[in-house]
Amino acid sequence: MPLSRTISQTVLHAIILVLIAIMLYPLLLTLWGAFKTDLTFMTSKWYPTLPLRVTNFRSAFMGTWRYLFNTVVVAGVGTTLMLGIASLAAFTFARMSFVGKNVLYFSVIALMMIPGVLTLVPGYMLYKSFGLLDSYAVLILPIATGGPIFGVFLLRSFFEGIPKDFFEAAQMDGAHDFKLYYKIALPLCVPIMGTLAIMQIVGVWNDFLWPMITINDYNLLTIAAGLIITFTGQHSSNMPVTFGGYVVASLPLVLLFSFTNRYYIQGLLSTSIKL
Amino acid sequence: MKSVRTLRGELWKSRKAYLFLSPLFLGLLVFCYFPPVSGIYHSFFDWDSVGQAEFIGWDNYKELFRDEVFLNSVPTAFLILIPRLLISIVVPLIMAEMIFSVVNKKMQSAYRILILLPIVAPGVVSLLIWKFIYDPTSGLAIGLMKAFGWAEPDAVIHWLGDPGLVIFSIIFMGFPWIGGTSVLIYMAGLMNISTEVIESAQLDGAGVWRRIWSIDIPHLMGQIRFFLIFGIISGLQDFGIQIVLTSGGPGYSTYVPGYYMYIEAFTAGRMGYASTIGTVMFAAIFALSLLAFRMMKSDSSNT
Repeated sequence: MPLSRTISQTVLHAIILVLIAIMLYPLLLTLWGAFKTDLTFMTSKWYPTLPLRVTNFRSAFMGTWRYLFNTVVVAGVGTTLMLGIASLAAFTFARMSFVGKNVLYFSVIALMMIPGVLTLVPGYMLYKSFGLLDSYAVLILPIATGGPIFGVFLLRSFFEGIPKDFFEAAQMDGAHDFKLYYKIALPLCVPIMGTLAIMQIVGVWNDFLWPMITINDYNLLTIAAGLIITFTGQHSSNMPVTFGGYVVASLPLVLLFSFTNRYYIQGLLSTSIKL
Repeated sequence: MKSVRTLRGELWKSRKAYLFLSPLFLGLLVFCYFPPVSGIYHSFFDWDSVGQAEFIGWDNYKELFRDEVFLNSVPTAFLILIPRLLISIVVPLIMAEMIFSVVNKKMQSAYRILILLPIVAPGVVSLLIWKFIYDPTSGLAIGLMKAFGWAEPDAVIHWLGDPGLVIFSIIFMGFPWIGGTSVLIYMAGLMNISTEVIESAQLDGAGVWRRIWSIDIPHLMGQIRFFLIFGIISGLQDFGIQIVLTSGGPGYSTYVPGYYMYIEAFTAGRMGYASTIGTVMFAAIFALSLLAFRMMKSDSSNT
């Protein structure tokens, strides 16, 4: 490599590394802040110090485990329902012929154009009139009913890409439509369903508006809303514990990401998202 | 008669498909088609939080277009949206170009993972961390300014409490605005440009800047259009910062229409008026994204 090339590459690495460092610094600040005592935090919050104080996490976990549990229940049940409904419908649209197919498909996709601001208030009133406020149902139902819209859109094109031979061979053996879906389509679409599931789970993790509106009983809040409404206020005088709570709240996503980042990156790099 | 019979026959043949679609459409009918219709319908009503509704014609709309809080919240929304949108389109593009230019493939994939790391912190946590960064006396922002000698040692800066500063503070949040997912989407586009095109440009003596401007950017128009349209749609609706950090304040200086709708509905209990704000925003978002789409479409047909 010529010298000028080496120099420009070195400069490039330096710029990228500095930008990444600036980006990560607030997160690192939170991480080592969670291991400090109140006193060391006052004097030296900008850099990590020893000894590590682990007891902060006890209070942090006590203050957040309930919300984490609720989030896992809501995300787990909601995402499972969403995947089942979306994949069956996407399979039907991609592989079966029936009257009104295009009209029905368009009427699903058109819902992607409806912004949340239009449905927030009437949606709240609807759940209220069903008497569903303050329940897991009010958190799960929007995922199970609205979640499949994007799922159908994503999975239909995937099912259409599966070669016909796969299905024809099974049809010759006398497999019914549902069996084709269950035995052939589903196993093939596990990776893309994984991507969809990750997006949905991260969405549940981040959403605080809907739980804040529909849940009065603090014991039913999910993690994002719980952090805002109760946890941050309760521990505002003790930043290390607050930061500990942020770390605890992130741990499940850290686990999820460390197992799936390869697929997430591959998925994004291989599909071209554009308009 | 015959056509009726065949239609009925066709419908009967389709019964299995309808059965498979029924879980989807049952949910959609009740929870996805009904609310938007109900929202537009109730925008003509005095609708309270108990559910009592009284028809009042265009009164909500008349009130809304004379409502100072709403009228002032519209320019605020654009003041926040436009810089944030430009940043979220341009900065990831620059980052993608830089990472793409890295020759060492191992380092390149390491950078790809590093830029995605902030995903593991829930969105609320990053908002709350910025609250800490913007603390007027002991935050990181004021601390850095003191360290560099840009502020007196006993200075206090109300980043989020000063009406003249708060918009800037909101725009600056998230610095250096890398946005890992966007960077990866851009990189996917860059990888699709054929090496022949790039090599022939290099043979013609085109420098890096020239190549980015006349080859990369035209090829990435699809991605840019995607970010622009979905940025407008989601950016105009977003009021997370208002809920977590500013409460619309100081005064009304960070009120945006979505936040005003939220306040009218869930603290004032005026569901009808809030539905009117929602309906107007829906119309505006729809028109804007259509306009942006049209403009970008004609733009790229030339290339």
